[in-house]
Amino acid sequence: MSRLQYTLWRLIGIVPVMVLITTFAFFLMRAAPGGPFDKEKALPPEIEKNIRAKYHLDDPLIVQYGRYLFSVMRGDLGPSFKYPNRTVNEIIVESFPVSLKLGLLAMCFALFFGLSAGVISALKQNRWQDYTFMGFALFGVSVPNIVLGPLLVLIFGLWLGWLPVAGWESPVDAVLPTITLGAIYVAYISRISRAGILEVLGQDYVTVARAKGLPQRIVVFRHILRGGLLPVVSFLGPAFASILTGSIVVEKIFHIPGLGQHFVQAALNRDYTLAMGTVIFYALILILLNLVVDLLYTFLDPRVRYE
Amino acid sequence: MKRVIPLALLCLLVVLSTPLEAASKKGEIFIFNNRNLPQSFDPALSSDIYARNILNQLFEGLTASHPRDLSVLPGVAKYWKAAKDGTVYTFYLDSKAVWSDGSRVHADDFRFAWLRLLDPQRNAPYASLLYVIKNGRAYHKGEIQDAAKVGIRTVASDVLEVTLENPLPYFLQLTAFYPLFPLPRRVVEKYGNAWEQPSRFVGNGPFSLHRRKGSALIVLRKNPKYRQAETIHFDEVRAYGIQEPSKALAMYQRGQMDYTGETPIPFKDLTKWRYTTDFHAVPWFAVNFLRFNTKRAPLDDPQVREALSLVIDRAKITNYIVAGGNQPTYSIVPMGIKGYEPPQVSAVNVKRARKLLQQAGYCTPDEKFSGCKEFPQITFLLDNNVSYRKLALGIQQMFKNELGLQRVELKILDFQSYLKARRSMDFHIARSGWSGDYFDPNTFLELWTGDHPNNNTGWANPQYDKWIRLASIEQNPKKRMTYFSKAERILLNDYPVVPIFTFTKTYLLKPYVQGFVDNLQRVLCLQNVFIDRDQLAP
Repeated sequence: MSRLQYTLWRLIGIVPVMVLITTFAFFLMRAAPGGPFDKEKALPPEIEKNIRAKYHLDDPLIVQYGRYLFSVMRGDLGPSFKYPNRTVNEIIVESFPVSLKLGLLAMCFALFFGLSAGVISALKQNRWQDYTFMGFALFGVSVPNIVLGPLLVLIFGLWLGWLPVAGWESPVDAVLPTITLGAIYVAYISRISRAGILEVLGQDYVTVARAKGLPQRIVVFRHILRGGLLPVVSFLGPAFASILTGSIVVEKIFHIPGLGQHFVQAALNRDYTLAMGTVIFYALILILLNLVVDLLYTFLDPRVRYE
Repeated sequence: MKRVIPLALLCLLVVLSTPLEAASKKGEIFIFNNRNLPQSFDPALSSDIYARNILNQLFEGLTASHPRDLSVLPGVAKYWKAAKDGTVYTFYLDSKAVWSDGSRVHADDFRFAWLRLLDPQRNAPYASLLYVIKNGRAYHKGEIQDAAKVGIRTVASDVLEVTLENPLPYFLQLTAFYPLFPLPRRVVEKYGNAWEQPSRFVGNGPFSLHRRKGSALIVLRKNPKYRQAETIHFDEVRAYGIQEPSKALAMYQRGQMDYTGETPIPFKDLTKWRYTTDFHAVPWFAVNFLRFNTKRAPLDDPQVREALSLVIDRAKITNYIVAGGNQPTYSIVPMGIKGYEPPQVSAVNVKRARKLLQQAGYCTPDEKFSGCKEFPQITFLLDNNVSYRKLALGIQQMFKNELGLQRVELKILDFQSYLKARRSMDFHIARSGWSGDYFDPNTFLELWTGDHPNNNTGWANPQYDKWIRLASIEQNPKKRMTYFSKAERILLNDYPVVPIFTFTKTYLLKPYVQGFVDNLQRVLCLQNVFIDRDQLAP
């Protein structure tokens, strides 16, 4: 199978998956009690009837489902029920770039500190530097961001007073969310890169490079890193996908106006279209990023074939 | 290495491009927490107190409310005349009233906005407010199509004449309420639904809409065209939509916020803040009460309902369970309305409560007479909120200790599910709350008329409905209040609802904020408020 055929085949495969996800999202959302127009101050019955008619909520469920599926296929996620004058597409376009920015920042943070820690740990194997960094890595992997976030807020926001505790208005606001979201990936990347480099360190070509009398700097950058970091590169795809979809908690903790806030709030508000829209959008991103990663593997590792 | 360099460059690019928003730092900025941000800036499509705080900054109605006592002040209307019989009001607009784009606010902008509110296709939640206007109801129900028949007439470009169905004593309060704000007709007609986007937005209030960040933040900028622009001292106002009180408090403590606004101070933090100059507690025109389902046994028996009410120790609740300044209440209409002395339910009386329960045929702890029935299982419905969970547990315990009710089951649901269960009357007891829309007993008492969609108790009393109807058309203020009082007496005698406490709003305000004024309805007013850094508290 050629690369093009493989890619096409995978793209076609996305359709049934998305239909399944849309179906689940639709019926799960409708199974929740209460509706988008229930408020403490009840709408007069005739108004509620009009609104339900306007959004076709008075049609049989299966008709609504068919209509929704059709509109999703055209890329139209419908009007938001809670933001009366806005569409779900508009809301996603407005808020996703914020989540993306936070995700990219966290990824950069994770790469910089993860790689540095990994490389140093590997080169100083079983010495204090190695133990210190790997200790931190263990901490990073074990502490979920729902704990780390408030902890950082307490220490750096309230006790030391160095950083803002929430918000997304100035560059300094991004520091704590970036660390909170990226910490776990720093840990993963440092462990993966350490393992990768250790494997390369024992290879003959490294020994030969050293035997030739090359300085340590050249040996590390030209020979060791090149092979040792391959596992990290293949980790980046899935990591980025999960950073993007995993920022929901961090967005909530730091009150960041990304897509995550809508993801949670829309479900609680029974904003059917917005909740389903975010689910579909996140699902599509995950699927596409996984596809990209699978395609990249073939560039990185010639042993992987299209089958 | 070749792969690392582009990656590093990408990282650098992202980091450098992160000036998230060019934060404007010139001039004074007032930052507060509004708890929830409005889902729309269209006055016709909003219906909660959080929207009101923002819309009051963006628009101004014919009249305005005094920031402290909520009395009626001139707004866009410089003055007005009311006909002798109280059914026709003529408003004369202030020539200084202009939109933020510089054009005059015309009488037609009000007529346009009000007819739009009544438009059957608009589905405006507050459309029924304008049923008080002649033919308002018929127009909204689609029974008449001719807008000229509705009692809203532009006599001249700056004169608006409103004809009411009946005299309405609180009409001038309604004209200060946000659903009745004017709309810039040209802009709304030009852009359709998109008119409320920040780039197109035009308002006539002290501030105009600058930008919105989802449900997280709204930034307003001073409207230099506002007719009383000299009273506005902030160049920018930022309203956060933070729902967690502890997060708002942390931002306040860190100096990221000047006013904690709509989130209360958590109980655990009260001791720390209570005696500081930052702390404020003011009564709020809102009541927390229980709804009884009068259609479901055993609460279909008024004796049982009264018995339950008689064992609720409200003072204990406000002192130990929902502490923070909330006040026990024995009436549905909160105290504070001039000329209205609300009737009250009896305070704790366990002896009488047990007697009533026995009369209803149920066993009580001190007497198990032959043939008495065990009190059946009842459901206590509430929404998922820490304070309300504690409140429900406390009341559950009172029922158990004083009346021996062992089977009061708490049903805790998320807010939307709670509303659904309440509306479909799937409960015995439901925790409830209500805040007044305008400063009049009617805003609390009309709920209990037989056909009101918020009744949710199954209770109806023709005599009650009659008093409410009479009060709605009575011109004599004293007589009106008597009618309301009679109605509330009927309500409280029948116990479809049991008042528990009136809310107190607790908040923190930086001592350097000067001129801030509070009121019973929590209407945020930023006129004449300013920051004086020399006034920093010690």
